[in-house]
Amino acid sequence: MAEMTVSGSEAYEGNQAQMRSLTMVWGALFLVLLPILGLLGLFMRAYQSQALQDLMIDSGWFYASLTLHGLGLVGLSYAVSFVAMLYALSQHIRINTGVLWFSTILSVIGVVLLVVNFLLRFSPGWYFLYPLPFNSAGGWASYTADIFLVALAVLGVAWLIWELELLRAIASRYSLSNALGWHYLKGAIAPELPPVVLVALVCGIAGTVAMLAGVAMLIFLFVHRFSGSMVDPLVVKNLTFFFGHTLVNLAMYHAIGVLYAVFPSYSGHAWKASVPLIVAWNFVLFLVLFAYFHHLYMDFAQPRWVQILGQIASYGVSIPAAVVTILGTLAQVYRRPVRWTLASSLLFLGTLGWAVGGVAAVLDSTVAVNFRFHNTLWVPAHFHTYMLVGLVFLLLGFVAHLTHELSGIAERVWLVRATVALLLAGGYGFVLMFYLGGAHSVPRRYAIYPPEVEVGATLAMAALPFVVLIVLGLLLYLIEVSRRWFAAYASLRAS
Amino acid sequence: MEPIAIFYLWLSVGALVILIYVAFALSTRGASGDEAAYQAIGRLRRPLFILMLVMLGIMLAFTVPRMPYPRNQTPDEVVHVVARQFQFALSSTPVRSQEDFLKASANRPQIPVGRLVEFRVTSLDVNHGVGIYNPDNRLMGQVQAMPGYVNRLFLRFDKPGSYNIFCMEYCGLSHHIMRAGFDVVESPTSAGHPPNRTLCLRR
Repeated sequence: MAEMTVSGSEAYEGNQAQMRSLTMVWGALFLVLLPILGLLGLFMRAYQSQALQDLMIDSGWFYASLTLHGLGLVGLSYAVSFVAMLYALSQHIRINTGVLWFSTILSVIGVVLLVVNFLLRFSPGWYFLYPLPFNSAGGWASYTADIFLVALAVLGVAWLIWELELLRAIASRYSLSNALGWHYLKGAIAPELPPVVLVALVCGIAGTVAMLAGVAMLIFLFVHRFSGSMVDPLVVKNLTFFFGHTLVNLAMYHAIGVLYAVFPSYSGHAWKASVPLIVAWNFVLFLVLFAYFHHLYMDFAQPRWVQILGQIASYGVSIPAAVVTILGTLAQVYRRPVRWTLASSLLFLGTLGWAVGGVAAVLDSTVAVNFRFHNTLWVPAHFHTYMLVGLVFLLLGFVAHLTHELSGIAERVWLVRATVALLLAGGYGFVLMFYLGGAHSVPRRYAIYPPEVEVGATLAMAALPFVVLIVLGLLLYLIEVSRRWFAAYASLRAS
Repeated sequence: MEPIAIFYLWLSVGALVILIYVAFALSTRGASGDEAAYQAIGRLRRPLFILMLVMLGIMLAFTVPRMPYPRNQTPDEVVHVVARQFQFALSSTPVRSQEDFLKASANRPQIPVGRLVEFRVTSLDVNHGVGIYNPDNRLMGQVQAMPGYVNRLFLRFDKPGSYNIFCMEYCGLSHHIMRAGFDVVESPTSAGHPPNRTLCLRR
């Protein structure tokens, strides 16, 4: 059984112990930063609903919150899911945790710089479309763009380093063809390939390419900063979305790698590599690099064939997700005596969020549909579905699993049930208001809605009670998991 | 494709997925770990793959011809749309100077009903989005406004009334006030869709 336990493979026991400490730290960062960044989301919906009208808060804070909320949660999800995947991977390969600690410290420095910029109300949005960071029309000081560039450079270096370490670690045990599972396609099943290794390699290759695109984007931004001359905005836009979109996709794929490794310990059925799984992930490696084009559908200057390729790739990535991972998750539970805990429930439900959000994403990745949906509330609707009730559920499930395994503290069943119920009701109610906004053509990223689309304010108000449910659910989650975290931390220190 | 129809489509498929998940979760009650059950679900993989391939293939074939990109159409009208933080300027003639911009931004053009209009869209500073809302406040279509590029959007307006343009790409702290508009008006010559009557915007 491909069960991931604290003991794991003896050969990598020492390495696993080091990974445990690192993963615990990232788990704690996640538990602290997720609610803070989430509360910025609550503030934004409250602002849009005009519930805060009497406080006379400048709309600049709305856009600064928008920027930090997006950047912070995308970066946090990517980093936490990456470390979680490496934790699962450490059962099979030796990872240099020194490199990961170095990247962790750089990541923290990058985050501190972003927070400083938030306080200075730097607000170019989470994907900071060039040349907006340098051209704020008096909205923010020009030196904040410099801080931002440094923050991006620090984070880029940090994450490129650990992507390269991931590739090095896999290469130290597997050949490229074996790690991609090509020997399975020839009928061989040795050496056995744990699915998390395959997923990690796909993510590592795509992640490295994405980071290099990020480096290229940064070079363009620095050229603008130091020469003062315009660089091609369409090229920078392509690089920005290649980097950003791939990062978001990878965050989900990291979490799926974790799911493959962790969920069998609750279902009792191994999640093994098979020909469909290998074919699926090899296709993902190819398709994920082209799906980002759907962010540029409304840039009519892009070549037409690129837009069609974007639609094909976006449709294409949904097939392996549904046929291998979603169906695989359902097979894991079907008529099996699944041990339903906080961890397994959230992992299972996380894949549901991915599927439901994925349907909306596929619809929006159709050029003719995107024409009416691009940059309306449909966009936050679908990405909050697979990020909030998808990826965040998966990561909360993983942290619950990790702390439970390491602490051994028994769960309080009523608390777990209440947590899951609150997160589910709050999460789906919250995203439904975004979907309705998209259906009513409400533009996204508006601090204040014009009278013609004031339904946006009504829907923002309707979303607030659901956000409160999410906050309550998170609070219960923290009550349950934080005591496990402290106990696990104490036991790690003792050992 | 009306947004509300897409919403109901998502709602139906999403509800179906949720029901499937509920059914599978319920199947774990009192279950003993039947290996045959696992294999049975595995056998659904191929039909699901074929079903998705066929469905997505049909969607692709149906929607690619409906992409909104220019296809050698000849417009009846041409509207130059120039964006800058946080204003739009709409003009029947190219906007070449600051003076042109200020004049055009104070302008609310009139477009005869039924004409095929080409919007030539660009930006003087950062990325913006030109979202055209019909008199029912529904988004008819959009295109990005990007510095250094001209994006060409073709739309036909069959319904007279007041149309709004809202900025659809976040462009700075006053993004939410960036808007413009035009009126689509009845015209004795509008029914026949005369060929290339460029620059016949009314002021």
